[in-house]
Formats: sequence, structure tokens, C-alpha cells
Amino acid sequence: MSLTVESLGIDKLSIEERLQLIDLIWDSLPQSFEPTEIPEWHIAELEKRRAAVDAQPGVGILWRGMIPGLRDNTTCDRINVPSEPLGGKIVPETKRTLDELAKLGGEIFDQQIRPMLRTEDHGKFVAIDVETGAYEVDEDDYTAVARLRSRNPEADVWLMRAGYPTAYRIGAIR
Amino acid sequence: MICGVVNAQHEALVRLKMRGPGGIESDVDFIVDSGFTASLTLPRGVVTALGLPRHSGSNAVLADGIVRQFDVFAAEVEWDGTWRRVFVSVIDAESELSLT
Repeated sequence: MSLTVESLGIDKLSIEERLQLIDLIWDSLPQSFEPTEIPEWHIAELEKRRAAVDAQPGVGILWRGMIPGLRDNTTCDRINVPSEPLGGKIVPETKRTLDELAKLGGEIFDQQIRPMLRTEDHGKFVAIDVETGAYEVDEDDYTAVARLRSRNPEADVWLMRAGYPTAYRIGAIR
Repeated sequence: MICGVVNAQHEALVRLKMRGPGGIESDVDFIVDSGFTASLTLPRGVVTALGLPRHSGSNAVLADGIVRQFDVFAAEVEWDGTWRRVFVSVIDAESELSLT
């Protein structure tokens, strides 16, 4: 007889009790688990999906280009996903130390840029040339910096995010 | 399609090929981290080995609330058969790949 929520009495639990049960089950799992065998149906499904993707090369959108479009409900064709290879090109380097960039970039952002930002800029990346105070705003961090460097290839760049204390969030340092 | 594995610590790992501007390539194992909002992070040793140029500076808030500054480098990653330009953060930890 297969397990069901009814046979286990789960349907009689409150939502909080069910969430607590999920935690209990999760904690009961061993730290390491080595599956001895992958079921045939699973292998068949994986092969089927892989064949479907391989049959249509180029279909699909990189997450990097897709997410900004989802956020503002626009199509992805306005998202500039960098694709030109770097190979053989000289890429300008930022000259100042990290502390100098952070201090100057933070001051310029607070004093000059933050008052100029619009409501719709919330959450967008702000690339700042700490030498000149020039800046670019874009939903994509790479695009913001690339546009700033197209104006001044030698820019010393500090990256912020409008409406947030930092540009990024990192889940964990191990 | 990009395939990966789940290790004994229940971490999702993918192996990606990285390339610096000088053409040096290296295979790097990345941990997929759904709490990470940048693109990629690499140990400084890998950045040095690839000869990546320092592109800009930025900061991030860690899971414990601490704000850390870090250097951002320019590199290329082979993503599903295509070379793409990406930012690489150096936070002196393991390699991580954002899933947000």
C-alpha cells in the first residue's frame, strides 16, 4: 500500500504542524547518501529531456538575461548579454586600491548620485567612475560597467546597487 | 545542457571552463548558491592563474550581516557551449555560482 497524506494523517495537521513535520523529516535524513541505483524511469526521463534540448540548439535564454526582463515584465531582447569574446583584447584595469574605491565611490554615490536616482531605478546597479563622478545605471551589472567604460576606458569603477546597502548578497562563506 | 552533481554535503556542483584575456583556460568546480546574487566567485589563486584583469570594486553583505568589499575581475566562462563575458568576484572562499 502506497503512502498518502490521508493514511499518514497529514491532512489533519495544521500548516504550521506540516512545516514542522517537513523539518523533522529533513533532519532525520543521513548526512551523506549514496544512491546505489538510479531508477530506469529516471534515466529514461533525463535522456528524453537531454535529447529534446540537443535537438534545438540555441533555444533558451541565459538566466542573466532573463531575470531583468521578468522583473519589469518586458521582453528579453532589450537585455544586453555580453557575447563578444575577450580573447586577445586589452581590458582596462582599475588602478586604485579597494579601500580607495569604496571610500570615493561611497561618497560620490551618497552625495551626488543617490539624490538623482528615480523610483524606477530601485534595485538597479550603479557603476561609478570615482575619478570623474560619471555613472551609469542598468539592471545588469556588466552592462552598467561596460557602458561606463565605453565613455571612459580608463575609468576606476566602483559598483553599487540603488536602494541597497551593498551591490550583492552572498549566501554563505565556507 | 549543463550537468552537475550533488556532493555528500548536499551541495550542487557544476564544472565550468573559465578563460582569461590571454587565452589561459581552466576547469573550475562551482558550488551553486541560491543565496548569492553576483555571477561567479573564484579563489584569488585561480584569478591569478588565469591572468584576469581587475575590472572594478564592489561590496556584498554576507549571510551573517557583515559587509565585505571585494575586487571584481573580467573573465569568460563557457556556458552551454558559448563563451560569455562575466564578472568574477574574489572573496577568498570556494568557487560559487549564483542561481538567482
